[in-house]
Amino acid sequence: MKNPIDYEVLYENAACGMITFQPDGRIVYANHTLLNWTGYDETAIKTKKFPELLHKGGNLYYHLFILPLLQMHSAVNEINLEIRTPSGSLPVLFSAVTGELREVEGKVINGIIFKIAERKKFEAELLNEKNKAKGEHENQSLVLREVAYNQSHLVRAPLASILGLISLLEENDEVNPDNKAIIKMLNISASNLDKVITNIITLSAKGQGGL
Amino acid sequence: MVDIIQRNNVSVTGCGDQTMIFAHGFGCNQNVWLPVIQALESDFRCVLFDYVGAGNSDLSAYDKHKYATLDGYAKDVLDICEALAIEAPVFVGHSVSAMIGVRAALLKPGYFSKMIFVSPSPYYINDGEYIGGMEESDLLDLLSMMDNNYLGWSSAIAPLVMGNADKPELGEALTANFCSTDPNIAKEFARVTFLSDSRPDLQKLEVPNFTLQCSDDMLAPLAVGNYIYKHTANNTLTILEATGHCPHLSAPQETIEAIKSYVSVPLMEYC
Repeated sequence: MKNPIDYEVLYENAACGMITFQPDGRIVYANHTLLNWTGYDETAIKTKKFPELLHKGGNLYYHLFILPLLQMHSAVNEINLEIRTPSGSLPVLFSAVTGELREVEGKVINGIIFKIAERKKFEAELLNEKNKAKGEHENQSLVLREVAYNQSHLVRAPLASILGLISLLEENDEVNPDNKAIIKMLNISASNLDKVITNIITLSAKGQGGL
Repeated sequence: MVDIIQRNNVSVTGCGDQTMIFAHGFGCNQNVWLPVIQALESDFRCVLFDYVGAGNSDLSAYDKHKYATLDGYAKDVLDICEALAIEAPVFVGHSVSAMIGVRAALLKPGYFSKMIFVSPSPYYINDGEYIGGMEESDLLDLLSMMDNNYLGWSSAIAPLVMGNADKPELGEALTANFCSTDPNIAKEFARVTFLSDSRPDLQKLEVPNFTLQCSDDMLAPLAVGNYIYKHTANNTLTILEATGHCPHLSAPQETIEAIKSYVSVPLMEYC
């Protein structure tokens, strides 16, 4: 059975933009879909180089990453770019492979371009939520550290007097020997508690930039 | 002791009396030199490496403070030369690495015999009459592009690669894409690359040096090549027909010939 597909129609009106350019960026051809999306006509786009379709940052990125990758691996995948159009800009995903054409000497780059305006909004939402959550988390741990710092200071004052009173009792000779052992244990426990609180103070002070 | 060879993923290839050390630029790793090396390794001992943070270097050796200036990277270049006991090397640096080489030469005067700069720029940002080619806002745009594209880098794979030399398939996952870098390190390297002003260093350089300038390079415009020529002692400038920022990839043959012709000229002619 004869293949019913008309390749020219398929290419020109594909669901993605298609573009062919030379290694120095000069555009050889772009399909109708891409022309429609970007608002350039065929003659206008052929006077441009592919990186000139991008913002300055994208243009730099093209020369630093995309072109070297194409030269080293003959392919790039899923690069997020912004294409400048006469009316604004278009967020896209760009994938490309290097290939050859009959009419053009040397290698060319065949790229496909997907519009991802809706996807970008979703990504922006995710990023926004992530940053918000990060901010809240940082804020929360700051508050917790403050509480720990303040509370441990409040606890420390009565603890200091307990430790003082214990040492007074220890110096008292009239206490019976059974109670002496209890006072010793009391001293150990209170000293341990003091160490724990000192640790909390040190840690929370560090967290607050060394209060 | 730090294992420099592992830290910077150093590889040595070829043989010859003269050693050449090749430093990659921002955005890629040592593999960028492979097309050039293949033509040079029959005459020269060629040393390749990845900067800490790039390629298969030891990411755990990354130190924010050390690598906040080009000096940190320059010291690593000298460490590598010392570890391999290289005498009077020819330094070949692409892009930011040209200025890292200049720093290294100033840190160790009289050490390098020649320096070759491929698409160099002492300062990428326009500054009064100086044309660097970029504004600072362009750098912010570039950083946001980097935020949107991790180029195959994955935090799940990266920690596995280091310290698993016996499992090369893990390394392949990363090197399959030679631009893969820890995004945070890449951004810091981008800042150091584009915001370091090495113009004062150029005037102090004494080593004979050679610029390979592309004819149409948005990262290092012609004006930059001319600036280096005017402000650096013993500079030779060649303008390549090649366009773009990576002539070693886009026009390896032209690049190889330029490098060979410069290296083979006896030093006396430049002094």
